[in-house]
Amino acid sequence: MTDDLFSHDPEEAALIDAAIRDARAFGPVYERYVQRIYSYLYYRTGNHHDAEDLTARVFFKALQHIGRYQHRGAPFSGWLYRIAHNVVVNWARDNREHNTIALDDVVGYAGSDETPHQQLVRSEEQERLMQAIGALPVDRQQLLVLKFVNRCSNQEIGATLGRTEGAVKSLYHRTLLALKKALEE
Amino acid sequence: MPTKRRMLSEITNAYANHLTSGTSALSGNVERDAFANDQVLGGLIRLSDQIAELLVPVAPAPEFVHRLGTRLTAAAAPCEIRIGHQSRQRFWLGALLSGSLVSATGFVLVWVLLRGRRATMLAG
Repeated sequence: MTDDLFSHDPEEAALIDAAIRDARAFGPVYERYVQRIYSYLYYRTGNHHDAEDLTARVFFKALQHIGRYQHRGAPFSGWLYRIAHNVVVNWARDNREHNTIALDDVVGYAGSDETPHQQLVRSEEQERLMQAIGALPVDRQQLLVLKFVNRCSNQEIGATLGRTEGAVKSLYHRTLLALKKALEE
Repeated sequence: MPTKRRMLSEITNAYANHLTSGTSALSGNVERDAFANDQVLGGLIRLSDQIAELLVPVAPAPEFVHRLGTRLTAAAAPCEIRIGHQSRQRFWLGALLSGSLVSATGFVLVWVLLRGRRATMLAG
């Protein structure tokens, strides 16, 4: 079953194959993905407490179902992100006030050679951009988080969002245009 | 010939890949030069840079990672115990069935032997 599983990363294929055969070998898979899944959930929930809670739910679900995982061409990470996506959707249903990106303590890059005035301008720009991102539809927010935070390929994003790579490309472009328009208003 | 919109989409995607994975920003048949002075493209490229600066990975607390790892390991272990328990159940069920089959066969054999001996005695 796993002959063509992640042929571009044999080490990852071996880890996942071992975990499929024996749940006790799930540890290395967890260690490989915990940071990416946590990061994704942090940006989806906006706070560490919920991100930790949902990360635990994602990995317990993955552990429970990995024996039935079947490689169907999409990356394994897409399967994990899909679980994370479903967990967030269920969580957001019960926490409607938190269903957009809300990132008070994420600090973007600030150049060390900037003057206080430049830092203030940059900070205001980042705040406006974050507000604009937060006002986007959820699937577009998710796309940006997967692309920039998790550094997912369009194929991985497609597997998570249930879209083709071409559709992901198009969605990304439309998202940029929408953000640009929102910032110009 | 792709439309301008499609070309812009290709370029912005290629640029995002460059920002996130360090691959060559523009490759293949993407004709960046044709849009070198394009205001829309320039704006989208700058916006991509700003997003990349803003949306950065967030690391979980090491204690949380360790604690969850321990819980997952503990959760994976009962699977083994359950499987062992199921195997033992199957063994005893098999033994019970085999024992019953042997007993039934023995009973039939004794009955046939006794019947044969009785028939011989009556004939004698």
